[in-house]
Amino acid sequence: MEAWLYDEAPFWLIALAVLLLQLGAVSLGMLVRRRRSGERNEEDKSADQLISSALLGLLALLLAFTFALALDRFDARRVLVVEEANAIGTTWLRAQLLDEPHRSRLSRLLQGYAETRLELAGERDAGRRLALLRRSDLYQHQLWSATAAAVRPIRDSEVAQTVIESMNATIDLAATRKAARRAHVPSRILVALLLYMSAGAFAVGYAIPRLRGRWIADALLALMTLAYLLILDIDHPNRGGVLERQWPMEDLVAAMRSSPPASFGP
Amino acid sequence: MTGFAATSSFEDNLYTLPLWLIGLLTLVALAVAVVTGRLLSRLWRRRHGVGEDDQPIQNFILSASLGLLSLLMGFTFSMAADNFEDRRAMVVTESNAIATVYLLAQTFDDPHRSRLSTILKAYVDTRLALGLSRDRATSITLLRRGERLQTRIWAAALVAARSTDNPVEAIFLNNTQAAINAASARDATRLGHQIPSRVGAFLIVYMVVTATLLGMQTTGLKPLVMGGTLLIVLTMSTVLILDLDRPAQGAILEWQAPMERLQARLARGTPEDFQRLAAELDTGHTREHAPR
Repeated sequence: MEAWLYDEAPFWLIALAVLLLQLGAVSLGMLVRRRRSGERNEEDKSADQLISSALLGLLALLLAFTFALALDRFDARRVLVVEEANAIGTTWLRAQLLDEPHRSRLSRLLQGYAETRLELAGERDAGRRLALLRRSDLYQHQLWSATAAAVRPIRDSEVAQTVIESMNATIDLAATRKAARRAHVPSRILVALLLYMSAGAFAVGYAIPRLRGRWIADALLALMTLAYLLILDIDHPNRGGVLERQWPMEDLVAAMRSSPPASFGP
Repeated sequence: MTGFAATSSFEDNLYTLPLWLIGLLTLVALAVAVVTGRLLSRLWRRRHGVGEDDQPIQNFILSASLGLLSLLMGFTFSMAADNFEDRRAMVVTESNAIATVYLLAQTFDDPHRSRLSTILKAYVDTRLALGLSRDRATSITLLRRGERLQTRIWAAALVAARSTDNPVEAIFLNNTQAAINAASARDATRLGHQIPSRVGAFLIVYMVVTATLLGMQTTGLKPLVMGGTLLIVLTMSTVLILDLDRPAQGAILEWQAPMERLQARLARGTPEDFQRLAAELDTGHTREHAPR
């Protein structure tokens, strides 16, 4: 259920559900208030509003910190694209130090690997993503065996060391990126935030004596829902409109295509 | 297929507008929203009459929505400022890396030494021109030229490393790679923005809704001064965030001094200069603290 909510439920459905929940909470607040004793005096009213605004203040802080959390994670993913592209590029450049046939073989494998990684990052369909992830794992296996075969005859040279080192870093970074893409804002926090938003909406409904302020309250709730959805969007690496850019990886693939191993001299 | 030129969504297209235009459009949108709010509220009053309770309720809702807005804006600003600082540090990293490669290249014999030095000088010129470029098309050309030079540097480095028996060969190759990696880390930030464009669009939409509430809240001319001030400040903050977020646009630009200093040094390029620089590297001083 949670996985479905996270990976497949369309955003508009979530948006609608969140908004309806808020509107329902306001209505409930107004209903409860009307059911209770008749006219309240000025002091009661100002107390209601004071408490509501305190509640909304705390809610704003919670929303904003969760927003910052999601934004931080987004930024971490963005930086990792650069790092992974650099690691693959480094390995590719170092592979040019090797003798044939290892040089062409590793270069070819690295290019295929970079293309797979790029495709994987842009894939929105969960099933295809899994297939690409498997292909990328397979590539890693092949890369490592090709590296082992290449360095075996020159085991003690510095070239061997640097190639092994950077190949290792390349494979490590793929794992780091995978972990970063899975590191969401904890769903408990998101659920708690939703509950808190509903409580805030209830309080607002309770503080509004009659129907006339209602749609102004609704505007506030719509803004909060929008903020909540923005957080969800930022937090999802594969969905919505906020995706990390793949420029560094795209550029790396372009560079690999335009300067094949032969362009680095014999 | 290359990433630099691609734009996709509506927000991305919005983002390619110049900053002053975004600021102006935002301000106009906010003013229209205030007027709309006033009209709505007048309509409402005519139909339903004025209730005593209305005003304080609107007050507390307006302040709640402004409170959330300021927090979201604050966090976005903080992220933009962080990224700005990171880019500043990246310029230092890259120019230090190129300087190291240049110095190490001096340990090779000719023709490798002079060939590498020439390419590296051209490379620094290109990178600096890219840093100073404010035009997208020029930037893309310079980025591509930089990449081609990187390939040439690496090819020349490989030839130099293969043909001579230089003990610093491995260090040299490592540093060449560090310089290339520093460049691509910078290039990834060069043409675009780091804050998701949807966040910027969200802030503007949020401000428009809040401005409508503000318009409904106020009557008469007196509150217009305060309200107008608030809207102008909000617009300025948004433009400031966007400006911080764009390395090559607006008034806040990436700092190029380290690269300029490097270019000047390479242009002077006397042997004593290299020796002095080599001595600095030996004693572990970074070039940043070196006397100008």
